[in-house]
Amino acid sequence: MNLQHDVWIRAKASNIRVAFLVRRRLEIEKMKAPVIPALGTGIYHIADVSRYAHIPHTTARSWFKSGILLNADYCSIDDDYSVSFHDLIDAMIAHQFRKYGVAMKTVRLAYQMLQTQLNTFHPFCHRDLYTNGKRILIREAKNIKAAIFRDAINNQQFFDEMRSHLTKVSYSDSTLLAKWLNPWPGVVINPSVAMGEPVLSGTGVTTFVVRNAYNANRKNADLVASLYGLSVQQVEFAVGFEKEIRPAA
Amino acid sequence: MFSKLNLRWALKRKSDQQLNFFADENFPVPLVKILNSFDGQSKVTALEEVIPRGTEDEEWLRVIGTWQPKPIVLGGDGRILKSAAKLAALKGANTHFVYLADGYPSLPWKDQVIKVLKSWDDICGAVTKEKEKTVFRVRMQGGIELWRRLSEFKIHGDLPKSGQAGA
Repeated sequence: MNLQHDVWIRAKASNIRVAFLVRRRLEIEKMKAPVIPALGTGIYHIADVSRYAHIPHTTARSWFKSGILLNADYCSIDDDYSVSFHDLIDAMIAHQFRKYGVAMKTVRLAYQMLQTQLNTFHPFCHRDLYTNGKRILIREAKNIKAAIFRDAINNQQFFDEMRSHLTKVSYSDSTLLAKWLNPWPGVVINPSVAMGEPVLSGTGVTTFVVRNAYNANRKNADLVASLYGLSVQQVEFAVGFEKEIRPAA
Repeated sequence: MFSKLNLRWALKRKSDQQLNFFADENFPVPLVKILNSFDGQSKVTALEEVIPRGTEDEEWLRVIGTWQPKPIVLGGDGRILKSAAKLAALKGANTHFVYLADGYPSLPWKDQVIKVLKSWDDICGAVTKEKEKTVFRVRMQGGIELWRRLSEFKIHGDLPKSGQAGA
């Protein structure tokens, strides 16, 4: 985290409670060092984040690579920059705030406050945001002196839209964090299966493979279903999802 | 269809070592059966024969890690080859990986079978020769290439934290 940003956060911390939260968050930040990508945590390129979370590619890249909004869990390997499943979900929710005009600095401040409140590196992945999101964000709004943030969270449409995204997320009972995402009927993004690539529900068959096989075999869904041990409906799910995220392909 | 193919390359293996392959879920199941039919020396096991479908990566890698002889993983989704981060994540697995190039799923099924069978002897030869745990790529034009040795990845950090910030 750069010094300028620290100064900005401290300047924002105009009361004791906020100052305490900021100090706690800075402590947490120190504890969070990037780690090597590992199985079970999902590994995504920025282009994948852009597709799965419906964020413009340049926006996602600037958020992670510059650290302007989010810090990735992983260190880069051979200049290959990747993020985790929890980073992906954080980006998806952060994008909701940005869509409603909340300034980047304010989203980051809210993110940092929630890190301490919810005691996690990934507050936007926390189940409480789904179950008690409105209450939590209204409480945070009192600490964050940004009218647009208050306006956003006072807007019912904002919560409805955020909830429509969070409804697709399943949470872990142990960590209370996002466990997998259902971006499309019959399709799951589970960081523990196929390294987090979108797969057909209950299988490890990636939608990418199914869609390509479908196109290569004259759109013969029966053949593709028999190749990968799927039902015709599952093939259709995979094709529909891939069409949604890679319309030009 | 397959009776019309010239399968000399598949029947005549240079190496007489018995190899144990494990095909992931993105490797077509009928192709597993074809490989078993045409190479009597090797055994190819599809994931669904031994583990429920959709099993987590760590779990199936742990299960096949206990097999003797150690299996070689056949993967059908070659996009992993483009991600150093994903390859680095495989470092802990004590096995070779052979991935079809990412263009394979875009081939008509028959062409896919022909190309894999043509490359099969090379695949068996390469994995037999290589001592270090390695990721191989089955090329689109046939044959196999050494893609990355897993030992090349230097791991400095620990496994990721669970996501909880702690006290």
